[in-house]
Amino acid sequence: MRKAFTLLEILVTIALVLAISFPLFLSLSTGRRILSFSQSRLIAHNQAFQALEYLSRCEPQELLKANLIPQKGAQLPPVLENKSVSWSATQAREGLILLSVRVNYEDPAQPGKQKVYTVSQLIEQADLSLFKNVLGGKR
Amino acid sequence: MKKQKGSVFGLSLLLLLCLLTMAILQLRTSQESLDFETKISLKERKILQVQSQLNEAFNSIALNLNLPGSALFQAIRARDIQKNFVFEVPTPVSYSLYSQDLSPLSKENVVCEIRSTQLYNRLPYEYSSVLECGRQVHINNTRPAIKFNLSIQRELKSALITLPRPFDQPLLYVHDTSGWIEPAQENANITHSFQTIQEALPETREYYHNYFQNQLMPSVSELPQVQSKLSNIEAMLDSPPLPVITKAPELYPEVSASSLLAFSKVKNFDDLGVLDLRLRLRAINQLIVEKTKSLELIKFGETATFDRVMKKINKEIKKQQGLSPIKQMFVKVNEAPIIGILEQELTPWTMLLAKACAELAEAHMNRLNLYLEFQSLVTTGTHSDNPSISSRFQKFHPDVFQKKSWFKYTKINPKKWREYFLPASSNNGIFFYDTSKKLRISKIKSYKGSAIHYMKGPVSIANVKTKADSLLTIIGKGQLDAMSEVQANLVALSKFKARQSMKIHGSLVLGRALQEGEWKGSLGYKNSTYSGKKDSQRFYRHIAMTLSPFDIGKKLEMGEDS
Repeated sequence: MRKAFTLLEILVTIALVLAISFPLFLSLSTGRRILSFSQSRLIAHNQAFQALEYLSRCEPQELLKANLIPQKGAQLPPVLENKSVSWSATQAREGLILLSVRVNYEDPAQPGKQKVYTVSQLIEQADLSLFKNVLGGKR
Repeated sequence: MKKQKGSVFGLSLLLLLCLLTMAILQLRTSQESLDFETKISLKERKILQVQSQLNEAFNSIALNLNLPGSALFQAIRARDIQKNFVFEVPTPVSYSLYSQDLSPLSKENVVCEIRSTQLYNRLPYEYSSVLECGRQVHINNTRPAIKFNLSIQRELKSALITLPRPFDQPLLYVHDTSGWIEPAQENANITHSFQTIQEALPETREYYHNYFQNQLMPSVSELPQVQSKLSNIEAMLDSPPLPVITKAPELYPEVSASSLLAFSKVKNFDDLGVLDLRLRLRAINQLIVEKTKSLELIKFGETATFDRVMKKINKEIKKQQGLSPIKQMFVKVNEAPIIGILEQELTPWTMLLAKACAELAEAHMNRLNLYLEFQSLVTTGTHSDNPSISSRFQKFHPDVFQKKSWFKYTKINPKKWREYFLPASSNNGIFFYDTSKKLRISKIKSYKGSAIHYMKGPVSIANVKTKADSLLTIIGKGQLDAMSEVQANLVALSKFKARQSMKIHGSLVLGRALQEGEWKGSLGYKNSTYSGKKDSQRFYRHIAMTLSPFDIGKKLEMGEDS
């Protein structure tokens, strides 16, 4: 009787451990996945915004020709030399350019599967070369 | 032992429960982290959307500002500048661009407001304002929901894009007539010519009529044929007759030339030489001097001539009558030889006198006609009597243009003037060149746009053509040289140098008058220069506006949406 009780006790303990550790394991892995996904998407987001910010300050005419000329006394930002970052500039309307930046990133939950983070912004096609001489402003 | 086993079991359960709690907490924290990241991402993407929408709005405003058919064109020009002006701008491109986005952009128009208007020169149509465009956005798919208001400010400038009023009306305006129209000198000329024709020359002729009547006639009272001949000769004094002045030129105000302004509303001058008053007067004045001398010389011979004639007549009479007093009573004098004497001696002198009078009168008449013609071409007035015109000339001051200019160049390479003069995107606007270097503008085949180019230093301009609907105005604070064909309004505030080849299709405003021999080339008025009556559609079309591509301010207000 005593043996049987001990065995039952052990079985119940194992069942309880399993019952509790399964959601524990599930919670831990989901949490980790969420965190790493959030982190990768945030990195992609930051890269896209960094690239967009630089591009939006470039000469619109040059952007349309897909030329990237570093601003005076500056190098191209590393983000634009990153192979996972690509950009395009298209004429949206007279005097308006659509600037799009795409960042490819990997979802840690699904290794090998590429995701794309895209941001777009409309910028004006003013002839900034003309305005350089004006008041020295920067866009 | 049993109690010990129970404790291990309980402890294990407690540990597991703790781990479970930690796991759940971690899951929740991760979820919150994801929410937070989503919130940041959404917020930043939303800002980007609004930024795009604002850029589209600014672009739309810039495109419509100077488009006569647009609603904004009329409304913004007719607005009361004392009050802020609010209007809405739809942004269809942004709506369609972000319709598929994670959080689509709601279809709300951008609200724009023009405020802080500052006038440049007390003119309600020339000002700098702040244009603020913005919109409020709610992000509901975050916890808590957030709202933000993004607004961007840019500078808006408005200016008249032709010659400042009223200088857009005359073909020629001269602010200081020194060396060209000298009031005292012109008045002396006009008065002298008028008096010579109206008084001096008729008096001269009258004097000789009287001489014939009172001196010559009585001395030959017994010789009827001689008297008849003398009458005939006297009649020659009025042939050719002196000209009659039907319209006299007006006298100029008695002020110094620098206090006199002049303008011409004639539509065309094929040869600006017609305005070279000093050069044209030079030849006439010379002729007047010569003719006056001739007349004086003839008049100088008066006594000698009359004495000689009388002596010869008396001698002839004596020859016929001898010395016998009885003979003198009965012998009738043969008048034929005496008539011969008159024909030989008096007729030529009288004819010369009459001719000299007529020629001098004609020379003076030419001078009066020159003034009449000149006054029909050029209207004058004093600065004190025309304060509105005179004071408005200050509109050409560099400080005024520097303030209202859209594009200001300071570091200029004169060899690259084409880059400044013909920018790639737009030729509209007011361009200010703050340099003392000489700019040479030439060989522009077809200038498109309406612009005022203000050069602070010297400038030369040649071979500049514009498109039919374009209007170009060049203002030179330094010396302005013009040659060949120039389709532009020219303003030379200090010195203007025209070549004979110069053909200006536009108006000419001169700070200082051209001097003798400098009036060259041709000038023709361009109707589009005239900006029309205030508040008219024509006037509105001469008001150009621009929006700076640079933001002068950006405001982001954020908060939780209740």
